[in-house]
Amino acid sequence: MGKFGDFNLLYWVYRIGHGVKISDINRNSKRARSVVRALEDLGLVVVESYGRVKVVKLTSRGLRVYERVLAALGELRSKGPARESASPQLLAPQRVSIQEPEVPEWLIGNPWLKIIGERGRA
Amino acid sequence: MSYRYVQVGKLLISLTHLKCLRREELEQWVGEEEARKLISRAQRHLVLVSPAYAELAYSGGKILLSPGLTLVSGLDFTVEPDPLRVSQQIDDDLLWHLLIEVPKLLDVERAPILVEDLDYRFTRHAREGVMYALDIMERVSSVYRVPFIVTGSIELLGMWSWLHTVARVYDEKGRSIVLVNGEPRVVMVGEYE
Repeated sequence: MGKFGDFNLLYWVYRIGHGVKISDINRNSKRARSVVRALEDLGLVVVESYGRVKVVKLTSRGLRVYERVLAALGELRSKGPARESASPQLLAPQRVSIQEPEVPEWLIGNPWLKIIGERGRA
Repeated sequence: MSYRYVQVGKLLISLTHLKCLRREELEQWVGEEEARKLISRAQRHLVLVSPAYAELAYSGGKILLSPGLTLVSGLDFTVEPDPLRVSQQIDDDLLWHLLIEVPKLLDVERAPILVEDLDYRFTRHAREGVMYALDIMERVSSVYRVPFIVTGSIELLGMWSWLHTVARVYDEKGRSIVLVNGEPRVVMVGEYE
């Protein structure tokens, strides 16, 4: 394991999201650069310059990790069944293409979504 | 801060505001094809703002709030700087206000947002309404990077993964305890005996 643990790296990917200024990663520039270097080494971020402002953006690999973090957070926040089996059945690995965070369970069939939809329609 | 605007159905909103909207909402307003274009445009838009912080002071302590959702239940408090209050609307007016009007206000000036008595603001489908309102607040908070302070009953505690929680509870002897992020901070001995 390098300087940062896996959970640290996932946290930084979550914080960076669709891009942040390098100074927003940490006010201590040495610390910020060390975080960015660790993420760059894993191919998760690139640094782009906009004049004097340096912006850290996720690469396509970083975005894939970000989307999975969001999906995990969505799962965490959704209300699951009251009891689930402690030892779920093992399934063969499946190739899944993640386009964007899944719709949370409670939003499916939510009557307010329809009402807001009608209200915003031109 | 200058904003670029985009027409979404009958609404003219900033690209930053567009980032707060869900695909499901856009699809209902402008159709699937247009929604896809708008989402791709929103994804290309970069929001570079520093996080805004607020200080919440209650009897016996204070806490620094970072961007995200904070629940305050059962106690009086003050917030610095002055928050924008969302306290009048109910039902779909509340959801519309959070989704459309609050981001417009934040486009002009970023400030903490205070949403009072969230679980008493729905006259029907209360649970669905509260969850949807919290989801909207989470999105707006993450894009504009401002703290949201939500007040309401203690039942709200288990409904969301809150960034911070400040709640007053009572033990079996009737003593009042203030829990901050789940840990007891202030115990009022004999207050309610």
